[in-house]
Amino acid sequence: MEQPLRSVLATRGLITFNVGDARYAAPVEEVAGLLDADRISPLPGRNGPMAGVVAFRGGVVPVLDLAAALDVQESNGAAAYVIVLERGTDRFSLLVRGMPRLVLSRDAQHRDQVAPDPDSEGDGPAVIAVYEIAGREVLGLDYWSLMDSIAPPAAFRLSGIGGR
Amino acid sequence: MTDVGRDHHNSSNVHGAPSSPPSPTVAVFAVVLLAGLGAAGAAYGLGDLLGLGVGAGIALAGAVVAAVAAGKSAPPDVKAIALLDVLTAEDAPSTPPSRFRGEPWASLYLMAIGDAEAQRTATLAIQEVERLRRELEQKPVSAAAAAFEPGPSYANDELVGAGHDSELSTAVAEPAVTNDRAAALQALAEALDPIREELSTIERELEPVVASLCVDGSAALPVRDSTPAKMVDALVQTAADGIEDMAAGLMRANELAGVAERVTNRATLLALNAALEATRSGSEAFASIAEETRRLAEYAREATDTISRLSSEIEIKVGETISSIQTSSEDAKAAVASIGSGTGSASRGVAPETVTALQALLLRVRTLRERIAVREEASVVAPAPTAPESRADTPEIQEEEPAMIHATFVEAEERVAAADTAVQAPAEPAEGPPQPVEGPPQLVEADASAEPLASAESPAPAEPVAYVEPKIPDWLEGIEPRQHG
Repeated sequence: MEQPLRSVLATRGLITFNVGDARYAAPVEEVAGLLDADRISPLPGRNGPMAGVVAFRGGVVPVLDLAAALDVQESNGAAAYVIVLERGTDRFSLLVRGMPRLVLSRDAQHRDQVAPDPDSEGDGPAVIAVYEIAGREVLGLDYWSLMDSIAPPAAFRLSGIGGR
Repeated sequence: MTDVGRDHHNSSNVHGAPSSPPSPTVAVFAVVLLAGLGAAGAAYGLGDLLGLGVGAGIALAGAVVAAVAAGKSAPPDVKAIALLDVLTAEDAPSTPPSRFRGEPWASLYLMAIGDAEAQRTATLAIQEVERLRRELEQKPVSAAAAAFEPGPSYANDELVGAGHDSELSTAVAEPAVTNDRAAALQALAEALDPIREELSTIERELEPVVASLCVDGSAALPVRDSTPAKMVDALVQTAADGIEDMAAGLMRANELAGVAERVTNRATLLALNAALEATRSGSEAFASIAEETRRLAEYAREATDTISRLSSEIEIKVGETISSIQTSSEDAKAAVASIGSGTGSASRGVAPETVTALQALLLRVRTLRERIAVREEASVVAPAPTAPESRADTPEIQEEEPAMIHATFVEAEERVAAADTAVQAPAEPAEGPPQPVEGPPQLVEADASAEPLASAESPAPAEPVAYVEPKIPDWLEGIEPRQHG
């Protein structure tokens, strides 16, 4: 039985973006803003999926290269953007290729709600929701857990970066 | 010589000398003889025969001595008259007779004999000039050169002034010289008429030929690059420079398109942020701002897409043009190579050097015709100079214009023959000469035996006439023109 969209989708809209061939989404309530990738300041001794930091609203926000974190090969031709995610005072950002898009809730369908599996920790990012937008499947990831797995909050506290 | 003798006779008459030569020796001889005979008669009357014989002998000897003495002591005017008689004789010797040697009149005799030689030389010169004039008059084409020769009366006037009192003789003969000058100018004008007509005909025939060759484009190219291969290279280089400039402009346009795309992306990002904020907060104000920003971003996106599309199309066309130019360059080089080897149909074209030469030739013909007209006007308007002054102009005319006319036509024959040979030699014999060159037969088909001055209007001579340098007699070289104030 198909449920009404607004009752199912617990968000006003989604910011969708591509990583590789897959399309991902983040709820607009957790997106603080969108920036151009040329504002990223690379860090010395950069290693892994961390692309650097970016200044946002008076603070310094770490940037996570989502393609590198998901181990997906990206084409270098597309323009890169930074999606700043925010929960309370904690912020971090995702580096994606291609212009993100805003999809209102009326245009999206919450097809599945996936509960995190405690046993699958460490195997990859947890998919917490599956949406369908214009007939195409869009995945909602637990970006915070992914960020915590790559860069623990204690490291940022010691370094003074971000509010984490 | 006759004048000189007559002058001396006149001077003798003025002094009252007898017209027939006297015989003073005979008169003295007769007087002394009569005196001796008188003395002998007186002695005979006295009866002294011896005295008679001695007196007669003394009378005879004295008469002889007196006669000899009287002959040696003749007056100078009498000697001069006797010398003139010798001088006016037909067989006058080159040296004075022995009886006049040692006398002052001997030098006069020598001077008179020298003048007589000069007169004979001048007479021979007159005859030579007259003969040359008659020969040149028999050749109509070379009438211009003949007209520049001094006429017979003019030459006679020259000889009148060639004597020892030339000033007086020239002044007396000046009206006749003026008339002869006018006659010579008239002859000059008449002789120049066929030349002028011929020059006009050549000019009219050369103009369309040169114009057609220029229209064909062979002469429109810069003369500095005369070689066809260089012309092709210059053309390709010019096109390449233009393409490079266009490519640089296109690159700049692409940079500006990139900037516009970045601006569009920023506008889109701004619209997305506004929409995001409006979605998060549910504010109508943010929603309207987000909507306007989105429209602005869409408009910028469309413009940027248009610019990018046009830039791409131009880039593609530039690439195609470059390829086409390269192909054309290769074809042109191949065509030039075929022209050089004489195997292509284009080898029948006229070289730019030939066109340039024809243009220069046409210019020379015009200049020559203008110079003839100017000189003719100057001859008609200016007052007739005296004989020595006109004689000073004559060598210039003789040396410049006939020589220039001759050189011009010889050069015309050579260049047209060379062009005709260059055009017809590598071509297929059946196709004939190229169409643009449709000049008169004497221009296109000129050869060494053609008559350069022949035309339909002017009387055509039967045989080719070559230019003959006017022969100036030796006796004219030392004569200086008389200066007029």
